[in-house]
Amino acid sequence: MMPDTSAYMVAGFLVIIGGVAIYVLWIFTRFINCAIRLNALKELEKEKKPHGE
Amino acid sequence: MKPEKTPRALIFLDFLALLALATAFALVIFYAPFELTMGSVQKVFYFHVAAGLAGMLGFFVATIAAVACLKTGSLKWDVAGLAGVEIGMVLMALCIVSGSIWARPVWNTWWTWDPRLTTALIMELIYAAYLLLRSGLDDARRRAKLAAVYAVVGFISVPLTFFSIRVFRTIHPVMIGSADSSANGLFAMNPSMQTTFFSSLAAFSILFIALYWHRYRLGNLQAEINERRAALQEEGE
Amino acid sequence: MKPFIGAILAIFWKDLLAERRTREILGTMLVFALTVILVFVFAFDLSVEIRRKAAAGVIWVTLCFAGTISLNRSLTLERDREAINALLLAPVDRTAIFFGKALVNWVYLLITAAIIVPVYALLNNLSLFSWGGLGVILLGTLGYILTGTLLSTLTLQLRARDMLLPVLLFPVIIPLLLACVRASTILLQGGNPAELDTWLVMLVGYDLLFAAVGLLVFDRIIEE
Repeated sequence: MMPDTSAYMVAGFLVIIGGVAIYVLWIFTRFINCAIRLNALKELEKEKKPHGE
Repeated sequence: MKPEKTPRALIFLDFLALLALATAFALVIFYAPFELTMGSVQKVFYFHVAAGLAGMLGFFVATIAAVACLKTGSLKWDVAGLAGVEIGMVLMALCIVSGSIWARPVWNTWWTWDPRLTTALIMELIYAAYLLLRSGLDDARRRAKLAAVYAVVGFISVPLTFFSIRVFRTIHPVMIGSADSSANGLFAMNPSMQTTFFSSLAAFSILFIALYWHRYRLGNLQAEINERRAALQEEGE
Repeated sequence: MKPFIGAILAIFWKDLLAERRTREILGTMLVFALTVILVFVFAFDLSVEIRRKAAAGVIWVTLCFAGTISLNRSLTLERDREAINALLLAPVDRTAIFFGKALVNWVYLLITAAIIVPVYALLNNLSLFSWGGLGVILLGTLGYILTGTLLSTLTLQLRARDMLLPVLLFPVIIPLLLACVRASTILLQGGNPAELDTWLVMLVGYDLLFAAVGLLVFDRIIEE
């Protein structure tokens, strides 16, 4: 008789695949945030340049 | 405006990783046979081991990057090291949790203090300490140097931990190499299981490369932002 | 080689002299270690049999906790009035600073051990002394101190200095601690002598390994 352990199987795959998906999302959001901040910094640099020179 | 266009090869790699994962998952579900004593939960094993090995690869890459960082002093290696540690931690955590879920019906417990489990847990602690060390330092150059030293020290102690715990008996199934046949939860892989296993391994390797590349690019972007901000602040003073 | 050892000893004597005048590190370590032992005894409300069985574990954990005090202090000491700059200016190999500091910390920890082991034995009416146990203590504390001195040099440069040392140090020394506890337990209660040899070899290997790591990386991480 094969024991029924399918609930554990579903949970296991949910953890692995869900975990990877969350990590991918985390990288993505950080990337977007960085892009926004980089743009803001570039704007600031443009504003500063004429004053500085 | 994107800071830098995503390279074609990386987009290709993303799709490849997705495809490989889907294929491996389909093989696990539809192709791989059921193991009789453990039932369907045994199928988690394919992804569990693949995630664990990919996680180890992450720590390994981080150590190589740390050594290179100490040798050259280049900050690029620091970014490369952090990327390896972060991905290693994520995959290793998934490996631990999925292993726990597997162990509950098979070993009848969520956790045992066997060498692999304990070493995996201690590795997570070491690299968590690595991240804490990084967060305590502001100067990029110094952070790179000190974090690299800790990464090397930590990685040296990992095999020692493993072997020292191994002196106690293990109940973890040994999949590759010699096997203690009395170990609970052990099973012999037949050819279709092996095909599934190696395709899972390949899928996670591709996934690792794709994730690593993305994380490395993110790290570079963060470094650039910090540099520009420091330059602006200096100008302002 | 001779000026190198001379420099190590110079740092060693300097720190001992400072300690003799201030008496801040050793005293704190001893009081703290005794408190930890008391807490262990009361927390587990140990019966004599369990106290005997737990002796190795309690003593090693106590030594590890107490060790962080001197590891933290012996380097922050140099930072207080920027003495570290003078130390770095000295025309000697900087690795000498590492071994000098390690030697001081090792002596502190050995003194602590020399007091708390008999105290634990006395309080619990046990006999803990053996020559093998002495060897385990010498080797174990040496490995702990070598790793600890290296890592406390790292934390010296952090914002939250004293806080982070245990977090960085303890996961790395787990193999060492395990070897110490197992070897001591075998010595105290008897057991497989072959296993004892394995642990002793492991301790020696650990000590050599981390002495080598310190030798290789220390001059890169000490603050400019």
